Amino acid sequence: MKLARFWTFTLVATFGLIAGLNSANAAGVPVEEGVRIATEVANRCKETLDVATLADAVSRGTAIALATEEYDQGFGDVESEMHMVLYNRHGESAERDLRQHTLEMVGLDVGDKSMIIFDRPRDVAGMAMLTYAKILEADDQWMYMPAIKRVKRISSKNKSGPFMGSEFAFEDFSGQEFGKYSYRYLRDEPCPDDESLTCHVVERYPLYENSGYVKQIGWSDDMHRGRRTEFYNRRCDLLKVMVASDFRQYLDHYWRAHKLRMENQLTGKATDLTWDDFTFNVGLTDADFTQNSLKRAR
Amino acid sequence: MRRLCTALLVATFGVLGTLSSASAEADFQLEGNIELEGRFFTNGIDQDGRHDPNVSVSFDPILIMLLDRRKHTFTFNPYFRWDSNDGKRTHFDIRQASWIGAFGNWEFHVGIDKVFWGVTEAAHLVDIINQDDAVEDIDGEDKLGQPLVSASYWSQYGTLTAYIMPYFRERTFAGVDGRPTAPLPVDTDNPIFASGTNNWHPDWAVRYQHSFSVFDVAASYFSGFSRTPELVLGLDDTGQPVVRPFYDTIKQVGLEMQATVGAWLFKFEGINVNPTNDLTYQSFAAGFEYTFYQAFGTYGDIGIISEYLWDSRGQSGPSFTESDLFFGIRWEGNDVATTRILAGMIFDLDTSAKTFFIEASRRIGDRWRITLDGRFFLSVPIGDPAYVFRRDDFIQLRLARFF
Repeated sequence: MKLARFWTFTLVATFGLIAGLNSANAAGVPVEEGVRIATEVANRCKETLDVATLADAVSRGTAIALATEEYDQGFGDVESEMHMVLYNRHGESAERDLRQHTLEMVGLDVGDKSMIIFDRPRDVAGMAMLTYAKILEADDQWMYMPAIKRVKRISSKNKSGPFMGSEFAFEDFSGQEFGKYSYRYLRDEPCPDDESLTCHVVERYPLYENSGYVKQIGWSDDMHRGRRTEFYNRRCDLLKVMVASDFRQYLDHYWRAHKLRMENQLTGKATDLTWDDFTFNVGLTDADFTQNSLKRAR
Repeated sequence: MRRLCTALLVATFGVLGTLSSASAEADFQLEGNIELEGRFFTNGIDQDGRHDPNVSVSFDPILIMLLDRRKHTFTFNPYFRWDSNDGKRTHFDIRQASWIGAFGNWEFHVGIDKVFWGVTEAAHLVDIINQDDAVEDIDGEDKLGQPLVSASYWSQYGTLTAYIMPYFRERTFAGVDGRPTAPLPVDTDNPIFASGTNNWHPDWAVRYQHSFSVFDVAASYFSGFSRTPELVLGLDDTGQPVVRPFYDTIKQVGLEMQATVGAWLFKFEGINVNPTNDLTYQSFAAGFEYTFYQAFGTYGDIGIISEYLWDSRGQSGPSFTESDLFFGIRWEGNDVATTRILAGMIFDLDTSAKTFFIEASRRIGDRWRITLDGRFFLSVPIGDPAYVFRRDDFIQLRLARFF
């Protein structure tokens, strides 16, 4: 009898825990955890917080981010062509062409599958990278080297290094999932690039391993369009500012910026990233995101 | 070989023509490079009067046609090298002339193709589909195109691939004027085959590969001509002493494993050759790679690689790496020019021979890449398989233009 009760208790506790974890995942981290993280970052960066309104700010920031995540769900699959221009301090430039294929994995607790194919510079033409994104754990990542036809599983720890020598880090592309951050609402104000719109300003703290940032501050409008992001490095310095523009709407719903400008505040270098039109509903499946398909990605 | 190439080419472009007229959306891509190479031997002209320096040019264009939303891929990659001293190194090969068809979970390859197996860096033991193009370099990374037909099925439980290779490619060897080269000329016109009298031989292989959690594993089986010949003493048509390549038929079981944990890569690959008869031998390579990302507060990454290489045949065998320790260091600049340096040392634990190499490269502008390689055979004693190369230390400068 006692044993039965013990097992019942264990079972209920286990499922309760699993359910609790799942719900925590779906709604982001619990408010107390969000408060703790925000306080910790503020202490580390020697900033003062309004303790009285902190819990509210965390809830509100989380709600805004969740609404954005939910608004963007259901896009299915998409292909896009990217063009990067890298500028150094002296105004000299270098160019990169790449293509990205993405397959949405449904649910807040799984990341998408994506493939990046390199076209330019020409010495890396045919190289391709396959990523199975995770929310908090390290992504699974493979690189294909066409000269020797080799697919190599690579460490995805390097999220914060320069991507193809640009001012973008890999996490700036892949780090956009709701569950990867905790949030704190700061204020509403006219959008910095378009004062006719109101922007919600939300600070977010990376929860995933190996981020190069202590926090980011994002400006997004009522249409869930992220218009400006400030990236703070682990020493709390403002490292980079990204401004998004040329928004176009797809399938009467999904907004995509077609230009991102990333400026490094410490080095004076900048990268412009522009997209050609996105192609949604291509019909990509899991079979298009395998190591075999990586080898024939062109 | 020439007949086979022609037949395959005609077949490939026949299908290609038919399909391209059927589908309006053909996507053509042309890529590749032309490269100038200079080799400088640090010991100068040796006592056999072999040349120094050496100049060479290679041309490596790749034409790709994609049809029907990448369901069909046609690739044509001829390869040509001209060498100032070695007539054997001046050569032509078709690296790839193939059709790849992708239909849902299935993928088919028909034609001349290149396939890589394996995970380790210092040795590629499991890799057996393609023959070495050994006149290119002695590192075993340059391969000749292999005629094959393969079928691959992917599911969430892994990928299973079967290969049939009807025609065997013999290894290329540097000529008497080549450098580095063996002391006796290799009589590539008179190979010895353990089975049959020519290159037509039904080699086949299967491989299962699966990636799950932090692991990537693969198991393979190969039956056919060994890609590594034994060199047997003989006389050529004029009665001069030569070595003749002897290609045995083997069965090879291969295993590959990699665990990717944070910045660590743990790697193992091993083979068991002829597991059921008394000519059996085993070989493995195992080790790790650890990367310090953004080392010392810079944008650059520093990686440390170490691998142990073992071969059951020991000193008597043809392997260069019978009980060797490899130690390497890699630096990736992550800069606009993608500067990278890899330096490594192989210690033979039995003969204490040391081989040192360095490879450094960076892009110049948008379309050029310059590469500096160095290979040094340090204190290689008599009896070590690398002894023949002991006076062939060289520095190599390459300049490639990509298109």
